[in-house]
Amino acid sequence: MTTEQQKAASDISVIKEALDNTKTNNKLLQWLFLLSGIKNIFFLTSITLLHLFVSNLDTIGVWHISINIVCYVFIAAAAIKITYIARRSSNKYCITYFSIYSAVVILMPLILLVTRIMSGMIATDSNAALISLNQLSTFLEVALFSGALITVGVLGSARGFSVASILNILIYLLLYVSDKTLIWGEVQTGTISSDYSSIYYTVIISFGYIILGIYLLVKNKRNAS
Amino acid sequence: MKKSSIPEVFCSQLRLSIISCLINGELFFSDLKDATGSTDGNLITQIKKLLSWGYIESKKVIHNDKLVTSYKLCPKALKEFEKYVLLLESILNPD
Repeated sequence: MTTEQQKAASDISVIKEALDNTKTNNKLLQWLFLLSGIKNIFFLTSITLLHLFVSNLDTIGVWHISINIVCYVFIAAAAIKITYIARRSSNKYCITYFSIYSAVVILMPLILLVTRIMSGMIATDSNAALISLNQLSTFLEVALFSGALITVGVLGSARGFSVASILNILIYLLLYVSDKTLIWGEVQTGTISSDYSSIYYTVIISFGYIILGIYLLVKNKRNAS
Repeated sequence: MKKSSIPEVFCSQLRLSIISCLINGELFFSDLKDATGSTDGNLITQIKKLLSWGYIESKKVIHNDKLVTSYKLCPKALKEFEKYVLLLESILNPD
C-alpha cells in the first residue's frame, strides 16, 4: 500500500468512526422494546387463560411448554435479526445493548435448561436449586430492563432514566425481601397468588418495555419532523 | 476533485472528523467534543477555521435551561465532502 493509500484508508476510518459516534437512529431499539413487551403480554395472557380454563395439570404442562417455546423462538429470532441489522445502522450504545439483550434472552434459557437437567442429577434438593435458578433468571431480566433504561437515557441525554434504572432494581429487591403475597382468587386447580416482586417483574417486562418503545417511537417521529 | 486540488479543510483529521460528525445532523459543542475525543482548545481552533471558510454555521440555542452553541453543515461542505469521499475511494480502488 502506498503512502497515499495509507492516508486515504486512515481518513476513511476517521469518517467511519465519526459517523458511528453520532448516529441517532433508535428505531431498532424501539422495535426491540415493542416486540419484547408484546411477547411478554402474550405469554402472560396465554398462561393466565390456560390456568383459568384448563383443569388437567398434564394438559397445562404441555401447553405451558409449547407457549414457552413459541415465545422463545419469536424473541430469539427478533433479537438475532435486530442485532444483525444494528451492526450496520446503529450507534455503539444500541449495538452494545442488543448484544447483551441477545445473550440474556437467547443463552440464559438454554443455560437454565442445562442447569436444571444437571441439578436433577447432582443436587440433593433439586427443588431448591430450581427455585434459585428461577430467581436468578428473574433478577437478570429486571437488570436487563435497567440496562434498557440506561441506554435510552444515554441516547436521549436524559439523566432521569439513569435514576429510574437504579430505582427499578431497588424497588424489585425491596419487594423481593418483603416476601409479601397477593391472593387473586380460587380456580379449579387451586389458589392463584403472586408475590409483589413477581407482579412488579411482570409489569416492567411487559408494560415497561411497551412504554419505552412508545417513548422512542414518539421521540423518533418528533426528530424526523 | 483531483488529488492535486484537495481543499485545505480535509487536510486535518480533526476537521474531517467534525464534518463527518455533522453529517448526521446538528450537534452541540459538547457532542462534538465527545464524538471527536479532542480537547476544547483544538476543537475551538478547528471550528473557527470551518466557520470562517463557510463550511459550517453556528447558532445559540437554549438547551436544558442553558445557552449553548449548536453547529450544522452548510450545503457547500456536504458537496465537497461527497467529492472527497469519492476521491478517497478512487485512491483505495484505482481500478
